[in-house]
Amino acid sequence: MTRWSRQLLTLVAMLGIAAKAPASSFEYLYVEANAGSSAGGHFALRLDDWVYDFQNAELGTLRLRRTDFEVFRYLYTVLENRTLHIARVDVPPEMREAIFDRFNRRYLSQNQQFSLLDSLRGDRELIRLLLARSDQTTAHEDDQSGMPIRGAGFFFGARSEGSAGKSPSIRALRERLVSAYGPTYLADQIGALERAARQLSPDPEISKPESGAQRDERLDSGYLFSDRYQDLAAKILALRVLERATPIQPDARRIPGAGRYELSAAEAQKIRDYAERLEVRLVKLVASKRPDWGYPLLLGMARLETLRESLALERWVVLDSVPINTAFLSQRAVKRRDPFVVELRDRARVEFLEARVHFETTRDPGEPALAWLEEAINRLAVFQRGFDQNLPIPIYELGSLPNRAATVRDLPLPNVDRATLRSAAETAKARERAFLAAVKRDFGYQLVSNNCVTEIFATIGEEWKPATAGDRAGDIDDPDDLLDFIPVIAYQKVLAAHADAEASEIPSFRSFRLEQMYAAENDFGVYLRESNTLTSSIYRRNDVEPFFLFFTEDALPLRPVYGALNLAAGFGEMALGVLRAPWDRGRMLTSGLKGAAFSLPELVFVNLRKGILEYAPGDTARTPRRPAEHAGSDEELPMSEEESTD
Amino acid sequence: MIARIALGLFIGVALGLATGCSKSSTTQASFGSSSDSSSSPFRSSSKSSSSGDETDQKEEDDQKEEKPETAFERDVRNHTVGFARTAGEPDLDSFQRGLGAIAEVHGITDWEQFDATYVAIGRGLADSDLDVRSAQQLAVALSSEDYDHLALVRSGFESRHAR
Repeated sequence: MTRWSRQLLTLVAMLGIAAKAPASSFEYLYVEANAGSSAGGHFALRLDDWVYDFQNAELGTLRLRRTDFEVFRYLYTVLENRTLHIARVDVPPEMREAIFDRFNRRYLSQNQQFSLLDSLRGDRELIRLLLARSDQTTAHEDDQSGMPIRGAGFFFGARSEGSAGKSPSIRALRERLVSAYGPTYLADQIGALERAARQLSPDPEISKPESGAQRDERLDSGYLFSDRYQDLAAKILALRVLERATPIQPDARRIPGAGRYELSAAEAQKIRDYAERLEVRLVKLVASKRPDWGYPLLLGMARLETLRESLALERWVVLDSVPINTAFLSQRAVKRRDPFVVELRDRARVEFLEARVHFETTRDPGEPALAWLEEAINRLAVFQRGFDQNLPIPIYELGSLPNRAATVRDLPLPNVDRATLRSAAETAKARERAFLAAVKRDFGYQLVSNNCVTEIFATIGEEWKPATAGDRAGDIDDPDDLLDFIPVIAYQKVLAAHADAEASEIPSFRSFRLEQMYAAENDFGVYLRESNTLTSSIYRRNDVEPFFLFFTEDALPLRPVYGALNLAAGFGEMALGVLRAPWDRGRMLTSGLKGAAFSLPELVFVNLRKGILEYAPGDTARTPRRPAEHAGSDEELPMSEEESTD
Repeated sequence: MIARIALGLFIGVALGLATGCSKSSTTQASFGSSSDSSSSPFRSSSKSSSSGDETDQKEEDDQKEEKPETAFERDVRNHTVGFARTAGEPDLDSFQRGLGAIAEVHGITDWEQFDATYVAIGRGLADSDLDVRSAQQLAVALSSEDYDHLALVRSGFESRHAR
């Protein structure tokens, strides 16, 4: 019996004991397979609005993700066309809380360890920079090398210079600071921080990071040399901005066109109040004991500038929060007003209105409310500009604060002699290598013993021991449990173990649309049209998956025949790919190979490929949730008030 | 020859299966353009009044009722548990920097201004199974020796213990 099977039984037994306690619930999610890298299906756990799941990640690791359920649902059931099976399990509230906390702690802890890996890389980079600087007797005028400091770009331009002139709002903030802490406070603090930056030295010890990657346990310290330097540098720059009343860089803010962004009287008052509270907070922030107040201060001052400018112009001005390296919606799609581009623009409008109303109607809107509105204005403004000028539109994941990292030339650097730097460079390299190996060892993905199924149960399990989790090869001694690591088998066992589990499903977009079509149109006509990718009205050929001809998910008797034709199509694409290889670097050849490969299971009645969509027209959420036993019914069967609104 | 190609393709499928559980890169690419996922993660932080001092006017009457823990508070509590359980000398800088990174996910950079942060720290200390003396020492350190913050940490600690 595998470890997680035992854990499942333990959980079931505990549920029996605590049967009379008030119930709450969590949900096991099983996502059917699709072609690509999801051929084995997927397994996840839902708690409240969050889905926790383990995914293949960088360095061959398996990382715990936390995703909003609606996003998860859209990605898998709509874009990836994969049916989602859900088993809701009632548990006592304390047990649910304990499970929630285990996932939450594991998520935070894993993030911290990967963040430590970034810090170790930062150490190596900083030492390399210091070594390079020590080779130069004088820095070149145009030398822009250095560590990027978050928030510096709000006030410092490409040549590390602040804009000319003085900012009235930052001057006012400086006056508040002076009256709170005295006239020499700023200069004294800047001096002290610059000295601290010069006195910084790389940590010669090797012990902590090397032994650091203890699975799901906190590290003794994740605050390394490069972190300390970046924090000091951000504080120095923030205080310099205050001292000089440096105005914001013009391109750091976004001033959308007039019209919809004009301020109402109520909004103007909210902004005035917010700016007043922000000033008070920023003065306190300067004296904070937290080590990383530099970026929040830079961001706060930049926001103060945009808020004051909003009041002056009587319309919203916000910080530019669009990341530098983003993907773009193509100019062609924008010009043609493709449906998904129009829908995204409409969604951006709605989001802007919601964020705006929230800011205006909340008594004392806080930082998240401004961050939300800031992001919504940015999003809508880039769409508006794209539509007005037929330009490509940047698309990016939401949820990042304005960052604007920049290197600033005249920052003090740690004053470390060359011999120490050379030794530190070796140490940093060794530490990074050792930590990387530990991360790979502790979080490395393994098909059978450390995958999305095994880790869900390892995290749930009462008996879970961090030291042995992930090393379960020896536990597989029961032939009946050999395949438990496969998502569909794990899900079936969950249902078998929890007799009272409430099973439901969210069908894939294509299968749900087919059900609707069969109900409304001639069956044969629908079949003829929708069985293949050439005439399907649901699926559009796209570049994200290899070419194929027939859908085989809903064609069990004909699957091998369709599979053979799909295989032939794959070979055809490969043949064309050979001819095009000199021009497309073998892209089509590889695609054909993949297409052929995913046709092979169809020859033996196994369907993996469901068809991936780039966009699915329809109303939110496009796919309904319904009881599992009613799958395939023509009627829409909402389960409960909560679920029908999922 | 055909047998070799077939074998290669089967290996391809096997490799595809071997990467099960992962989300395809195509979906990653589509993420930004998926309309149902185009809502800001900051929305929920904004609307959960207890993640900050902001209060919706219509919720004013419900102030006295105990509110469910927000995602931000849960993160802070569990971050504190992890920190308190760490062996060795506590590194406050590391704790606070980690807290800063967690807060940013919720749209917050100035987490010190929120009472909820300190209450959640207190709850985390209560959950960390420290003896009272150790918990007190950490409470003082984590509240930056600020009396008001300490009172909030204490209230969080006691509310958790009272359950």
